[in-house]
Amino acid sequence: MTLPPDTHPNLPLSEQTFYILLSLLPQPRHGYAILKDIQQLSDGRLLISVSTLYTSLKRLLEQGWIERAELEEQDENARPRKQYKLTHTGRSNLFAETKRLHMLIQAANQRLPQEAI
Amino acid sequence: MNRTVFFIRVFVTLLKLYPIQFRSEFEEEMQIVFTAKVMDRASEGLAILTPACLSEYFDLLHNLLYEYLNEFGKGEDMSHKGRIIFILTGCLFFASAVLPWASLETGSAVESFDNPSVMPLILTGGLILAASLINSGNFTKTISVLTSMIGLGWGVYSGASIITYFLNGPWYAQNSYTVNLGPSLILTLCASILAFSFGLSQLSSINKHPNSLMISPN
Repeated sequence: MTLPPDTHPNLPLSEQTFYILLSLLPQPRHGYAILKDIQQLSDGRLLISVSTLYTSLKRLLEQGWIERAELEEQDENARPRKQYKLTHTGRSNLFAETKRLHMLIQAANQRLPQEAI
Repeated sequence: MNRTVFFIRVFVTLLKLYPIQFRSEFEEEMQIVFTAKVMDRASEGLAILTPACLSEYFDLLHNLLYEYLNEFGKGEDMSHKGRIIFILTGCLFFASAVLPWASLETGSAVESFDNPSVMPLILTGGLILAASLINSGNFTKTISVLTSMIGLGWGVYSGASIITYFLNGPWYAQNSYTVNLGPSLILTLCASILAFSFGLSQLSSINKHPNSLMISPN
């Protein structure tokens, strides 16, 4: 199994970046929905702070891995809640990272005793 | 004042510390998300809410520092050609410091030679060489400003010294301790002109191409 050569330089991803991209894979989400989804995806293990989330979102926007969705939701006070969605680059980086992790797991499975897995 | 309102107000106040560009883009969103998070946690009691909010504040300050460093670091990497000129400038400063010593005999003559600008010249050369090794756009702007200032300072000093040196007449130039001081001063002046002009040119090229070199989120 080989990874696309154009995605190699961006790997490995940090855990939070991986989860943010993973959270945006099925659908565009706003900030709070991303936080809640990451909490759920990681079984409550990864709690990202608001500032960390937006620092990461800013970098991902600048790198072109995510973009703002055109439709904006509104919160209960009718304030706009901007949504974010994955771009093609973000998606391919997420897939490449998943493949990389999969390869690591495969390698570990070959060597580790069953009780360690 | 309600505790939740207090926590939100502290967060909103801390948000004001972010760079303006970041605030204009994300401040409102962050406020909304934090408010929603606090409202969610409020039902779990103050014992849960307080550490959660403190952790948010701590993270905010940490990210704030990161954001300012990132803003500060916006600039281009030093070009290959630029790095070579920087290294050459540093070497010229070193040579200026070493040259007066080169023709002196070892032993007492060297010990008695007292040129107050030797150590500053070595330090300047070392500083410029060290700066040329930093392979990052994060500091190119700062390095360019500092180099041009150093060049200007040394240029004024060596220019004035050259005038003094040659006005003192041939006897001064023929003194065994100072015979190479003239060439050394000229070398210092050359290094200064190079440092000053190159520092300025690097700075203007950064301003012409304000592409950001962002710190990766990975």
